[in-house]
Amino acid sequence: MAVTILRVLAFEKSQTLLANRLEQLFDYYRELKNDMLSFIFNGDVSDDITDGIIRITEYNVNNFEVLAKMSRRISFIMVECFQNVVRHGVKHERITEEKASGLFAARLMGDANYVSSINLIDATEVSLLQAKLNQLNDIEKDKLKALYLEVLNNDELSSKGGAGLGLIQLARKAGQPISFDFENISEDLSNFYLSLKLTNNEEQTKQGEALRFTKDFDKKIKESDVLMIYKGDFGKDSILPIIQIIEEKMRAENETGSKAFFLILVELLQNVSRHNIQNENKDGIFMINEDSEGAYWTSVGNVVNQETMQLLTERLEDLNAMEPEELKAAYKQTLREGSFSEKGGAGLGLIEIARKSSEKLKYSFDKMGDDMFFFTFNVKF
Amino acid sequence: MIDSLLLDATEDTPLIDFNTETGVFKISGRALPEDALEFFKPVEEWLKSYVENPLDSTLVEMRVDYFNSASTRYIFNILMTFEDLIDEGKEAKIVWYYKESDDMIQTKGEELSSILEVPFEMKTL
Repeated sequence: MAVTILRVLAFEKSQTLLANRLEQLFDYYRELKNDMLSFIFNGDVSDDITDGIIRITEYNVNNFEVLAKMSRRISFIMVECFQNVVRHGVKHERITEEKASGLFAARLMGDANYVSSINLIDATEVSLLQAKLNQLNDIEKDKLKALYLEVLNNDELSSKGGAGLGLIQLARKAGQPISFDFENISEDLSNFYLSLKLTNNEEQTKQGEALRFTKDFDKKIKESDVLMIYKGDFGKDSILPIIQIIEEKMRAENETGSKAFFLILVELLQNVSRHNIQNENKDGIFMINEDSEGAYWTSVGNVVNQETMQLLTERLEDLNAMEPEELKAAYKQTLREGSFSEKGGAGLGLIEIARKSSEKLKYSFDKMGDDMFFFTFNVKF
Repeated sequence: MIDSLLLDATEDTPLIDFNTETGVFKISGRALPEDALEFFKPVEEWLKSYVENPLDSTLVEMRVDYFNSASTRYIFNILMTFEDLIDEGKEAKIVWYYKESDDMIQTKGEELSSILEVPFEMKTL
């Protein structure tokens, strides 16, 4: 019952958001502005994308001195947290009602870094997990290693992949209490919140801080229809792992027509680094939403200067004024002659996006400062 | 005759196997490099030398899976080279392989074939 009401609310909410999709990306960008890396994955997770997450993290982390010092710990904690969702998550066939109940979020801000996961677990597992986590939080730091070795050498491993070795390792590497919570959502299912805050100093985190952070952020994400957000570097080394993650995800879901979607994605992501105010760290944001009708919205955003804004506006308007046949002709002409009009014109990438998009191209510019505009580009597929 | 050109495929660049002993030039895999120039420049350089002293007949086999717009331009330029060879009285032919279920690669092949003046054959894999 409660679930049905929630879904109705979510549906109405998403209808309103549909109109505000362009603003939504800028909102998230402003919220995540100071993050060196944000990665949010909302939905069913599987092990296939672990590798991609490691690659994104490692590359971004090593880009910032303040993070590089913690790079191994951060990567480790991200992977453990993520795999915790995979390992303990209830298998998909049981979550038909609440498909998007898992969440993995990492926000690295330098001094404070949060890694969190939320996933559905079997209600029967709650008491055992609770006991394990309380035990880990109570134990003195230097005893954790002994406990780790003890469990490692114990043959009675649980069927879920180890008797809490992952959690012990999490506690060791975090050097902070693990924040956690459980929330019953039905008779046999419970939401498991797990949250860690990493700092680059010895300062102890207040109990529950990381948890509040996670719950607030989760609420915001769940109220929209976000599947994935990435905020960080858009250079080649970051884009490839993102592409890899999405490809794995699509393969797992056996999406039809996914090839064209994949190509739009590549063009959009590469467009961010092509038109970027920064030459070095090509910062930007990327988001995928799934609306209530099952259509995917892909948005990318980044900061450009006035000159780029004018150029992009001209080109996008040109493309929006064309019919499919004209776009095709423009594509061929650009391929053969370099451009489709005497004054230049959109490159192959933009024409390709316009041709594959199911609607006219949607974009906006928001002034951010002197000669700085936030460019949002949104494609429905 | 210049030496054959062989570049192994990577995560975002295709296999380039231009064999000057057999006269079979193959491009296969995915081409998604952000910096397409960096990857294709050496291929274009090599082709420049090849056309100075080409074989009488070249067979181009394309088995591409994905390519981004930046690579499209270079792939097109590479295929154009064979148009030039034909103009000089040599023989060249392009075979474009695609999976029956892959509309996208099929369409790409048809589009390229409609703007290139080179014998162009579409074949299902």
